[in-house]
Formats: sequence, structure tokens, C-alpha cells
Amino acid sequence: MKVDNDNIERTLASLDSLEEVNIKPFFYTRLRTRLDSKQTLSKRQMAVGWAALIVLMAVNTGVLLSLQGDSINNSATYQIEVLNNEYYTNTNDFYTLIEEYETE
Amino acid sequence: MNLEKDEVSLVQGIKSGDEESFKKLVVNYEQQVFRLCLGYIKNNEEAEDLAQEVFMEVYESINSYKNESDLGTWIYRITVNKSLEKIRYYKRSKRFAWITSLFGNEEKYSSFSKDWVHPGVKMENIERSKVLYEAIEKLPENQHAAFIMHKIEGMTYKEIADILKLNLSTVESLMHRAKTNLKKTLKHYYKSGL
Repeated sequence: MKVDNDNIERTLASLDSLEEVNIKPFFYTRLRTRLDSKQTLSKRQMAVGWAALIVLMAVNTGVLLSLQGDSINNSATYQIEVLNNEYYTNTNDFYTLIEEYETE
Repeated sequence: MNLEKDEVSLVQGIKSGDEESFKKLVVNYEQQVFRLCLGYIKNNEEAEDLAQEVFMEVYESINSYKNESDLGTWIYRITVNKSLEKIRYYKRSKRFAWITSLFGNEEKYSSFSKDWVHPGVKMENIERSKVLYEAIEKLPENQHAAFIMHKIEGMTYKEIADILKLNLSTVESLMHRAKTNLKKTLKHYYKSGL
């Protein structure tokens, strides 16, 4: 038991009075290089991010405009068809419809 | 007092983007930060890597430093937090090592090697320090953190309390429990004769 306690105490004291360990020289130079490369990388990532965002927005705007155009055309055609079905029988042309209306 | 004034001007210099101020801060603290990292990480190259990450964090978050605590305390706090994060990462990697090995990825880090010896340990203490380091790794995180700061960097309990944002009595209790746990582990080690 005595040996055990001695062993334990000596092991616990094995990290006492450590000799000084120093970092390798030119630490700052290595750190600066790493900081600079990180900053360059983040600038590049930001540029790529912006470019991707612009492309995405352009595509979205294009799709939105084309869908809106379709829906405007669709609704105009739809209204003429409704009018036609309700009052007239055999024509889809707006001007013919007006002529038919005027002749009536 | 002069040191405090120096540090205030250093911080102001870094905030305003002065390269020389940052260099001075790094030179002032590089050795202590490296030694503290080495105490936790158990590998010279990885400890230097981590020390670099600490100073990068200091550089990037200097605007959040409000002079509430000593500059050194703030830097050591970052060091301890980063070291503990790294240790958690290593432990996770070790736990899932068998999965990564299925995909042919070799383990990237040599930390937690049983053969590692702190380069500052005296020749006659090498074997005992290996045993002690193994026991330290089994301590709960906060006891581990406090014990390394006290043993490796020779910090006082007050300094440790400031860094960990704890009361002095809590640190005393942490250190007491750490020593008790280490003694238990070592007793078991020597009894089983491993």
C-alpha cells in the first residue's frame, strides 16, 4: 500500500517543473500567411456567391415575367371565350364579335 | 499599469487595422498560448495549428473585446475553448473511426497517442508522465481544463477562475475533485499492474 501511495504521488508530480517548451521561430510569418490566404479565399467565395445570386435572380425574373405574360394572354383569351359562349355562337375573333353586336 | 496602458493601445491599434499592433500582441502571447495548446492537444504541430487558430479568432473578434477582463485572460479563454472543442472533435472522430475507415479515410490526427510525451518533461519522469496524461484524459472536461492550466502553465486558481468565469471556491473544488479522481485512476492502474 505504501509503495502504491509513493507511486501515485510521484506520478502526480511528474508534470511539475516542466522545462520550457518554445514555439518554432517565425510563428507570426506563418500566421500572417494563413490569415491572408483565409481572407483571399473568403473574398473569392463572396464573389462567387454574388455571381451565383445575380444569375439566380436573373433566371427567377425571366421565369416570373414569362409566367405573367402567359397569364395575361390566358385571361384575355378566356374572357373573349366566355363572352363568345354567352352571347354568340361561332366566332372567336373580337372584331367579328363587335360587328355581330353592331348588326344586332 | 504601463502594461495595461500598452494593452489598451494595442487593442485600439488592432481595431483600427494596425498591422504592427497585431504583430506585437502575437509576439507577447505566442509562447503562452502555444504551451497551453500543447498541454491539451499532445502534438507539437497540431498545437501550433491551434495556436494559429486562436490568434486568427483574436484578430477577427477583437471588436467584441470590451476591456471587461484582462487581455491575457480573454486570449487564454479563447485558447481553452478552442482546445476543448478540438478535444471533443478528436473524441468524436475516434468514436466513428471505424466508419471512416470503411471509406478508406486514414485518421488525420495523431492526438491521444499513448506514446506522446510532453517535450518539457524531464527524462526520469517520462514513463510516469505518460501514465498521468492517460489519467488526465479520463477527467471530466472542466476538471481537465483546470488541471492542465494549473500544472502546465502554472496558473493560479484566481487566474483559472477568471479564464473559466467561475468563482475561486468552484475552482478550488474542481482541482480537489480532479486530484481525487486522478489518485483513484492511478491507484487502479498500479493495483492492476498494467
